Amino acid sequence: MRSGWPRRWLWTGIALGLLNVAVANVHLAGRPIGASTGYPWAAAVLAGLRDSLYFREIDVAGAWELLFLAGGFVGGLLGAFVTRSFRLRTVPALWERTRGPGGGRRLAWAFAGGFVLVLGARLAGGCSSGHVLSGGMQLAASSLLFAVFVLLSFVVTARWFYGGAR
Amino acid sequence: MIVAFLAGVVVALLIQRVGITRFDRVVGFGLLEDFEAPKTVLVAVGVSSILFLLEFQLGWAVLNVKPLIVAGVVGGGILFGAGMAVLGYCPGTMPMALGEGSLDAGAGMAGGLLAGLAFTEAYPRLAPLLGPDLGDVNLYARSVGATWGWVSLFSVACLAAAFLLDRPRPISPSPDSRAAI
Repeated sequence: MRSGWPRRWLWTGIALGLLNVAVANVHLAGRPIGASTGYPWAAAVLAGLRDSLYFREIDVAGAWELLFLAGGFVGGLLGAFVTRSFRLRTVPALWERTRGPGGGRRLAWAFAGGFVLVLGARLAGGCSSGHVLSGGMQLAASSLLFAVFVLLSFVVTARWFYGGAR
Repeated sequence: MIVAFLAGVVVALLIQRVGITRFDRVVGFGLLEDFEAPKTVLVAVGVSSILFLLEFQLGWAVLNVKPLIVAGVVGGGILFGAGMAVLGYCPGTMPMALGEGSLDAGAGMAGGLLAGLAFTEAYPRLAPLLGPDLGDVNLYARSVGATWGWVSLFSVACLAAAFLLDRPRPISPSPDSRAAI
């Protein structure tokens, strides 16, 4: 009766948790997984702002996280090719149903969304990886507070942004 | 540093299997219709929290807790949630989704880079406004025994929440009274 066999979420969650514990081991990375510091690090390098106050604070973490992002790109590509699911697409199905088929509009909104997303992550000092996964792993007060406000804002915004047209 | 790259590859291959790299799955959660993503994350945190405590007690890991800078964490969390709803990806899944061919994730990354630049520029003036900074606090107790009890409780709560979310959709009215247990 239970849906969800083979319960991919369960095995994937376990593997993800084991991986983060392994990465945090002092013999491996000695720090947990994080992603969002890669963006200001890359932006500062591209814009020649290596002397800025913020870059000096995030120099080590940012380089690490940019490599994590690069690995994510390669892993995404690899997995999509292995499972033959690679396909260039611009407008997700749910977006098309609720906000229409326009590709330019979708890209513009995605750009704006990415801006607000990373700005929020930098203000808070972390994202789904660094705060929720890694901070949650360590029962960090900041990360648990972050998770609560992300969830509230996420659900309210999704309802407002997609809910009306359904 | 090679660990960072490999971790990225492995995380992408793992969460791809649950579809967390896809817009529809993430926004489906925002609309409270699809709980695969939070179930996976809850299991990951439930498993890692207890194992990390063991690792930490054995001296094989150090705490790396982010500071509780209240206004930054709350304001940043609100912006982050809104951005994730519109974009349908998070900072870590954007390059994974782009690798799968989702070009909108590439547009999101461009926006993210611009945000990174803006934040870097604004940081000296912005930093003093994000406080108060309550420090790198986590919920570990003073005594080892209490910490184990507390983390065990947290871990079980995360796992229980994941299994609770693994029920038939709460939206569809179901006469199944066994679900009330």
